[in-house]
Amino acid sequence: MSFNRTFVFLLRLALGLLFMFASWDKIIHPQDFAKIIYNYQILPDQLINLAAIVLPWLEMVMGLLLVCGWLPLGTTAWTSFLLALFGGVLTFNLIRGINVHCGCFSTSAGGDPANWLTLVRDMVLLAAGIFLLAANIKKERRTLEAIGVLK
Amino acid sequence: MIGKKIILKIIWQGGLIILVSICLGLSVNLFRSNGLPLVGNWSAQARVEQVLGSPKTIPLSEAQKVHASGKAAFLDARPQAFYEFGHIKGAKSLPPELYAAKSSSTLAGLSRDALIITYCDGETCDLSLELAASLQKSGYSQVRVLVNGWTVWEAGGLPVETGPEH
Repeated sequence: MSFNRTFVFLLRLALGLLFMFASWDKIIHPQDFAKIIYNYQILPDQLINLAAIVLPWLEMVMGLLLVCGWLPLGTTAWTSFLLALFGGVLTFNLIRGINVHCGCFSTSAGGDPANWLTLVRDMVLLAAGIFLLAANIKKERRTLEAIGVLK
Repeated sequence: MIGKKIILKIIWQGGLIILVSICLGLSVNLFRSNGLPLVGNWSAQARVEQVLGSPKTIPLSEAQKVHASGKAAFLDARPQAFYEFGHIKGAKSLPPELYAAKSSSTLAGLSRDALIITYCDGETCDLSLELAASLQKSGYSQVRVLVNGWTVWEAGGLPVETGPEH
């Protein structure tokens, strides 16, 4: 796999901005977001509020770090993990037939239903996340080799 | 291919990221006006109270009584297909998403202080709550939610019927 540097940079920027944008509504409407998490019927009741409090900020931090290019390994690892997790949860609920709101970009009750299209979108983002993670790993290897730590 | 060093780096960077996120989340939550309690009350009762403003659930025994005396209007908040499959006897179908379109015809003849009971199915289903909220907004003051209505009604062997509204 070749990692054209401009492409990687633009992809990182795009993904980062997307996360920053997506996290905003959830940060300013924690109760609505908690309700959405509740509707997914995946977490035990006692953990719902904690998730509603932390997840949007994790998303914002990830977005910021992606844009800045800091802590690249940790950021892209979290990105891939969260997107994979969300994909799993979404698939599970789509199969269960539970009608949930995605809660991806908005916490409003009217919009943003989670359907198979949402899953496709998530998979595309996951591919981008994994791609970036691989690019970062390759870069790290090269650095370690260059300074003689790796053979 | 992915050496131990890299894995360790992923772990400490990842750990730092989640730590910062937790700190940010918790501190912002602490100081904001619309912060969440760390452990929320997600029981049906609490959720109804949160939306409708006071304990507005109705226990099955009371719902049964008013149903028998004909003193309440029952509204089924589930999708039409579920309604036709089986509903509380005498209940009308009014899914909350169709409120704007259907409410005037469905609620015709009901006074603003008539006792209205909404229900759906499942402990966590909020359709009945959404419908109740819309009704309250429209000025109906005696709205109650029968939590997990369809299941408990059927389980209690209480009067049901099938088919579309007549």
